[in-house]
Amino acid sequence: MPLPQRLSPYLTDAAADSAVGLVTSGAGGKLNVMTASFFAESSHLPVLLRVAIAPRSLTHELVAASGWFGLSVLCQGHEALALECGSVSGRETPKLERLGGSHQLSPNGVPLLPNALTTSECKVISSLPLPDHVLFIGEVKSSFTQSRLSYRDPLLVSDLLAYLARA
Amino acid sequence: MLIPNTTIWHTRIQNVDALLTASGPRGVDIYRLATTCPVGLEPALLSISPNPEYPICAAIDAAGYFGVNFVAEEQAELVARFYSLPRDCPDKIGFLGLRVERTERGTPLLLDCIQALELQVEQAVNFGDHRTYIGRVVTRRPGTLAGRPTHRFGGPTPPFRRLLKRIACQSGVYDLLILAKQRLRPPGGIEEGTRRHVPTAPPSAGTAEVAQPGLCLVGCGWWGGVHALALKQQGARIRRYFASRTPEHARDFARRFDGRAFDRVEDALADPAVTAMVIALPHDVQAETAERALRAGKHVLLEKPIAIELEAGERVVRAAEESGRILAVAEEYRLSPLVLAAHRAIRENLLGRITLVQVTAAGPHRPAQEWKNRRARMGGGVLIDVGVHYVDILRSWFGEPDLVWAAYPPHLNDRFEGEDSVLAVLRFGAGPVASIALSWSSYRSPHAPQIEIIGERGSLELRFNRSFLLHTTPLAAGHWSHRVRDVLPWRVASRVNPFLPRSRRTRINVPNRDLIGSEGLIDDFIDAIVSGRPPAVPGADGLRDLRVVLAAYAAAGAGVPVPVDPP
Repeated sequence: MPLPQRLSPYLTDAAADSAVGLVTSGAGGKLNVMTASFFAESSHLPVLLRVAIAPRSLTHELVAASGWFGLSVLCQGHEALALECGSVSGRETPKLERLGGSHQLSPNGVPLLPNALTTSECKVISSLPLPDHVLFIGEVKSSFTQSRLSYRDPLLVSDLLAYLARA
Repeated sequence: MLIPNTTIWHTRIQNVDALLTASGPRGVDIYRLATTCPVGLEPALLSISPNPEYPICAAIDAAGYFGVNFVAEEQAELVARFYSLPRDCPDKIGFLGLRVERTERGTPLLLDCIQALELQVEQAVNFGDHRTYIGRVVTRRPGTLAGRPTHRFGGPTPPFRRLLKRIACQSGVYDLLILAKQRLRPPGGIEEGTRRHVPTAPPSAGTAEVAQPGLCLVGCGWWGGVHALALKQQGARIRRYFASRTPEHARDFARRFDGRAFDRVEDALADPAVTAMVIALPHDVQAETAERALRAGKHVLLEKPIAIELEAGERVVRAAEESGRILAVAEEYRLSPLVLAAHRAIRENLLGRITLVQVTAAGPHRPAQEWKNRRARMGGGVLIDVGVHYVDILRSWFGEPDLVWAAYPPHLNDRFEGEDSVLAVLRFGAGPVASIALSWSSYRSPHAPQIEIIGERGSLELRFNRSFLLHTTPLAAGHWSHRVRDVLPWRVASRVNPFLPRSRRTRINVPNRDLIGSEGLIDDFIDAIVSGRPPAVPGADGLRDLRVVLAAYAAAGAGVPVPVDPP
């Protein structure tokens, strides 16, 4: 895939290094996937995680409408996939279709990606508006690891930057 | 192969390792965490989720600033040494030999790291058992290890071990090992697995009121035991307290269900460690106790019925609104996987237009508690005690009934002052008509459905002792059995007919656990407290259930149908 002309501010301006994943969502017949690096664990019991999403994005619209989202953690080797899903808007391009139909739809309407390192399906239990993002707190309802990839390290933003520098 | 993750750590969402620093009353406090993530670009925001049982949270709350220091892969030994320190070690910085420099606001930042950030606390919210801080970056300092690879959660994997794991994963050996492990021990849910690894040490006082809420069970009688068991199953997620009008009962529950006893309910109301109360008292004193608890700033899970008089129920709901506390009503059936599956089937129009619903429950019953025999204390009989559950289920499926009628069959139990049997009929506007037939003095087959939902395209049967709904639909017009009936002479057909299929029956399976929703009820209440969302059955719903039950009593008394006022 062609490399982006301009680096995303999520790669250059974020306060710190963090893991890279894909947030999937679906509502009203629309499905979407976007690259995210603003996510982390929030609680052990209940099992909660948080993900910050820009309010103008299609993913925000779908997560707010459905109350569900999927979070797939990517691993080293998924650099091109992360850049592809993070460089265009789901409003312009059906990104999930471009992934070659590799997703599975959960009973709650959440597209799950079996080819990621891990995939978790989360139910939104709270949301917190922040200056330029909305923080969604999700309770992990189901979660899977792709055993074929489990020896790999999760992909970090610093790995992506190194990949771009090499390219 | 996809392997179910059985703990939160299997999700791999823990990312880069960092050391959290803050200036506390005992000097510099430090905490290791892998739960940092940026949450804003303009301004630059970072979030962290430390465990509030550790003193670092009190230090951050007091200072209003904290430091996040990102460690390099080559500092793996430092991170490992950090784990060996006791939680309350007075000088962690000194033991680890770390060099620290304070900012102008006094926030300690490490010198030997990739990058050190000083953040000003913008928000602090408790989610689950951890506390999430959102901080605005006010200082950004490169450390002496700037540009080095990040230390990932779990540390670097030695090359030989990585190679072995790679071979195992790609050859399928790892899959076989996982399958064998799953055969020996079938995987449970992610929460269940995580719970096994979370330490259950008592929390430090005053740091975790909401993150680990204190729940006090008020009422240590027969039904209180069901709630106590569900509270015990929550493990370290909550702190447990027990109060009773009989102090020995509270002490007995505290011993059996792992908690602390109060000698008087008033002591529990006054104790700030008690975040919420689960009230399971005789019907006539519940509402007043709930109102006092809400006014004392406690969240309340109140046994049904919410009250025995409408005015008392309204006072409880008003107390919740005015205090801003959560009021949930113990309508656990609403959280039953069976009731939820039936609701889904109704919503998805599986049965077409629904015409009739039949609820039937009957069995010999001799109340264990004397107060249940007294009509004045119960507020009625079987209808207010058991029927209210079914009213709530029907309301959750079909909305508000507009007309109610009821009648009492012969009274058979002389010890019992309230009605021991009842038939109530509820009309849901242009929707279905539902009958609720209940008896504590009769017997019916335990195999008969408790609820049958009948629609134009089929029916659903629900029994709370089996983990599936039975979905019955007519046979297709071209089914072979119709042709057999058509071609055979009548005399033969009448003999063969009992053996021919008459309908198509399929099971809608649900998970075979917590079929009446009693664990889900406590889960939902705690989630509501922790997250601030409304509970599944808020007080206003309990009040509407009571309104329908009281209308049924009025109808039985008057002998005519009674309209139910819309909410």
